[in-house]
Amino acid sequence: METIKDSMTQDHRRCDDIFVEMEQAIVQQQWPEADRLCREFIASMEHHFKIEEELLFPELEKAAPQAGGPVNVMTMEHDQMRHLMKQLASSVDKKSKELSTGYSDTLLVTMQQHNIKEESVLYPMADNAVPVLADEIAKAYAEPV
Amino acid sequence: MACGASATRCHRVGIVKTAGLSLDQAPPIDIPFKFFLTASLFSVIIGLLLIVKGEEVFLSRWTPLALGITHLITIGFLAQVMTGAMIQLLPVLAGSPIPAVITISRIIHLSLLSGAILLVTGFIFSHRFSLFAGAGLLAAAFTLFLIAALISLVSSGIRHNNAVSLGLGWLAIVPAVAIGIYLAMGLTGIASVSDMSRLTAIHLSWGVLGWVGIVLFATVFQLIPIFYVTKEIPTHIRHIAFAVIFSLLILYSLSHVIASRLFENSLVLIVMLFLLLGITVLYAIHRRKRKILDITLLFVLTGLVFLVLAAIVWVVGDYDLIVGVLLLGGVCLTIPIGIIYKVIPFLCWFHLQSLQVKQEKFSYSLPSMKHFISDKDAKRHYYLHVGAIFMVIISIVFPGPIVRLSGIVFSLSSIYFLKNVLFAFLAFRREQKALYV
Repeated sequence: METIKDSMTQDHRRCDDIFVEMEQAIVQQQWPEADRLCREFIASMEHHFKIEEELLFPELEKAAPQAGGPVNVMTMEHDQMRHLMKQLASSVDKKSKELSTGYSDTLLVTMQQHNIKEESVLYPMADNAVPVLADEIAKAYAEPV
Repeated sequence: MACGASATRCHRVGIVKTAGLSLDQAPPIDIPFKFFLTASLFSVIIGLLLIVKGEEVFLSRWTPLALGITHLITIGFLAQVMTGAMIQLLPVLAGSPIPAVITISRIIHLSLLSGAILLVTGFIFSHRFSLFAGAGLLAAAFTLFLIAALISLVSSGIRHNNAVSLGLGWLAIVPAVAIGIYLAMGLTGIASVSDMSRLTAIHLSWGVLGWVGIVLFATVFQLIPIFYVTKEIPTHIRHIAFAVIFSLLILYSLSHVIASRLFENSLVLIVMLFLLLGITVLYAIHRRKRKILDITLLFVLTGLVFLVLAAIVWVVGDYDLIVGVLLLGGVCLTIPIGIIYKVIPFLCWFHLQSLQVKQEKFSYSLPSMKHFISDKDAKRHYYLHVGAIFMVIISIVFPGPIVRLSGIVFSLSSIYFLKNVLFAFLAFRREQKALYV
């Protein structure tokens, strides 16, 4: 059976893959492709955030009140990434390579340091506190975005 | 808008206790900038010394000037960069701030700065008082830093995987400094030290391989998955590798008192282990998902290639000076510069983003990381830096007027580094001011 950490981590890697393709399209200035991948990337990220914010985090906070601090930080970083994604989308819209790579680079670092914290602290905590959610989360991620 | 519709929530969570996962607990950004700017100034001094006294530096590794320049790199540049970065990083890693961080970091910064100047002056002018005053100040700075770091780690409940590796690396500074002071006593005739050259090699091993080597690799292992989307090197492999290196350093040190071929050869094993670690990182980078070769990655890759070259030249024969330049200039300057070019822009962006939430200035559009240090500026510095390292090596092989020229290129490269860090700071200040208006 897949743990919460397994499904969530796999989904991180899926978002990374789309990000990498999108960044490549931006660098090569293939704007229609970059635009399509940017939309796909943002949709995947929002899908990931939604499962965390609406399903995992509330249940985790209920079961383990000490998780409140880390959960707050993670939610705050989701908002930072949402803001960066908006700036990125608008730069891709303007077909500006310089602006787009600037925001994609910032987004990448924010995203990766966020993922490492979730994968090494928050998900193991969730697997301990709310293991019953594992199935539901695996199913939610299996659904198409 | 920083938080979109959830601005209020964003503001609320910004002020609750964040249990160690947030850069919010990081000290003011002026602190790492102060350390990095000082480091770049020391690097400018190295370039100037090469211009003025170039020929003398490369006569042998034992000339006062060569000793002075070695310590300008290790104590002037690296100690500033590594301490500044750790003071910024520790609260985030350990989840517990360094006590009285502003005062403590000011004392550490000033002691490192004045200690390095005095020590190097002591070497170059063979001035006994200067040498010991410098060594004393440096010992005080490192002791204070280690105590502050220990308090920060112990008072937090969180154990971070990387803290063990970094801790081991920082522990190596203790024998390096202690042996260094003993050597200074020997050099000035205060104590009679037997086998100075062996003891110097031990001092150098603790400093360059133990302290710089372990801390640098622990940092690289931590950062490459974040910056370049590589696979993580498993934690247990890192821990074992660093523990073995540390143990081998102890064995190598024992060779000073116990004549044993095994103990002496442990140095070869350490070098081989670092080579293996370097190749592991190169492989992880080669297999990375994100194929873009960003300029900061180019610095890191070049540093690793210099490491491989240094190991090859060391094995091939008696070229101490070239190995020294490859290791100190090629590895110990190049990799940290690459990391700094990624870390500074991210810190600037992160601090401004937090301020934006605090000020509730959600309509203000923050610039991206590249606004603080552009690719173009980093690339120019890269060419100057790598050019300078190669020219220094050429001037060791073919001494002559090229020595001065290599000094000029090294100075230009250092000034360009100083300018990049300074301009990043000024750009940060401008954005900060705009958020306060």
